[in-house]
Amino acid sequence: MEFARVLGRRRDVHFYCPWQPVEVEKVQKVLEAARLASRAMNVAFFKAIVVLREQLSRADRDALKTPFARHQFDLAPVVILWYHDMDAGPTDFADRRWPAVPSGAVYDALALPPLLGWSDRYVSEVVLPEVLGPAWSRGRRPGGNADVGVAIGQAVLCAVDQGLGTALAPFSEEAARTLFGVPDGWEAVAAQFLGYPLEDWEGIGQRAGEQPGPKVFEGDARTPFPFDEDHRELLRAAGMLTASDSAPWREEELAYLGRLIDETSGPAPGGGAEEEEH
Amino acid sequence: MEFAEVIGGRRSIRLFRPWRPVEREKLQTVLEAMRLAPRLLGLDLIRIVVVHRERLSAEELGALKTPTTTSQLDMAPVLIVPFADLGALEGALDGASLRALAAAGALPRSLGWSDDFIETTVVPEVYRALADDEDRVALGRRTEDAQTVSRRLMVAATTALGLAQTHGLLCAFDQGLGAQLSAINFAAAKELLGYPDDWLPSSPIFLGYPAESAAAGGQRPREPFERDFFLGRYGVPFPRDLEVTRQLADEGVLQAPAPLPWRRAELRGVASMLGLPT
Repeated sequence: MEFARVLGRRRDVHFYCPWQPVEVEKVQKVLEAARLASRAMNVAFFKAIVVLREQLSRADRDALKTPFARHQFDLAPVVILWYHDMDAGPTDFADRRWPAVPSGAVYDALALPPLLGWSDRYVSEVVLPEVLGPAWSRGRRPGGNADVGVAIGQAVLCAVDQGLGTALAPFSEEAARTLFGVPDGWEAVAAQFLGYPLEDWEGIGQRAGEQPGPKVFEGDARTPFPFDEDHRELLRAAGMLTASDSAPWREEELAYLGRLIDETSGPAPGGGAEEEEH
Repeated sequence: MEFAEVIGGRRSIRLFRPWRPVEREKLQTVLEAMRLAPRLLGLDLIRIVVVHRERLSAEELGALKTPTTTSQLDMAPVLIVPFADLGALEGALDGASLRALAAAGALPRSLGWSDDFIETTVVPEVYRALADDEDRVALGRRTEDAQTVSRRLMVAATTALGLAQTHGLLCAFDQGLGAQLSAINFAAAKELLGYPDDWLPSSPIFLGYPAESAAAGGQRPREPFERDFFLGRYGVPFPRDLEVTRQLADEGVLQAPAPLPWRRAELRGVASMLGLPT
């Protein structure tokens, strides 16, 4: 799919086909996309555990739920639990062959060009003592890492490109640690649900519920960036910008889909129905 | 451009044509893409400041440099600096933004997103819990600020930043531009841009036309796939199907690895052109 249309069609999907599995090759493509994402010092700060709904009991799923992620655990056939690996930097620091620095691999690959000053000496005399050493000598740094978000962003867009529905939401860190043997050095970031969508992306407004006020500035943090409305028309024509508000039939769609939820996982919120058959 | 080609062709571009400005419409397209990034916890966190190199003095540019971000600042015509506005949580405590999302059908009422659920469950269990959280981390990871913030809010903020960065980076390549994420001196940036104390900065997107080839020496090395992704439980690697990787190569997602045989000659040529050391 064209990139602009991938951006234009992405929505937080809440309703997934519980009966249609996600092909394993599509899951792999989503992971491969994340792996190619931009990353500082070439360190994989992200880690992920792919969980199939069918491997979880009803009690397991309920334990993973949070106010923002409830029925999605009952409906989506696949959940990717994304983590921030707080040990990734120091581990890579120790593992890499040259010169004991993660970016050594990209230096060797000539991605960090000598014409910008990168050399063995620069790394050993400046980058190691001034950047990497201080960063990692303080031990684990909880609170997430933007590079994990960068990787997840590619995974989300890849899922849309694959024709899947997807959404991100928090999950119970404690329950997941017990259920999946998560290492101590991993910090929960988000659950990414994957499945074939039951709802139409056109039903949900692209900017539904957006708060008013300037968010983008130019030159300083006080001067709003002047967005050009004529250019926005071109982006609409390209499929990147779509209807801001939800479709008039959205409420009716939700009412129909709600019946499925009552059948599948019990009335909202909280569920309580019997274990469904697979 | 097809999505697969965009993620396959993305590189960290460090060498830009300093003489070629970025068209206003391309800049706007990148900003629109960043605004379409997923929101976490229903919070409208992302703020962006656009900085034009030509409007900065040599002293200001010099002050923004770090050991790993040097001449890029002299070459890239535009910096897009993303922030997470942590004050957005305070503004969300009345539940109005969630009620607006529910009213628009983006948070489905048939999944339990009633006004009562928002008021009695989500606001106290999520938003109020974040505001009162005793599990805190230092806000000043990029500066010497001693202020602390909820660790889970920080995870949401850093992840939201990464999601916006991904949208911006990929959109830049879709527009035929080059881009890179690279840290700047945030103490200098704060003085220059005048952003509020509760805005958490992240690495800017350096934006411009690349002075190096689109391949930029080849696709960067990555650690083994099995080290990052697990199936069902930590310690059980997600099985990588090589037939899928062949498909990804055909689609342009997986490309020739760095360094391409002519990379060193390319770097010498670009260095001569830009007056950089070889």
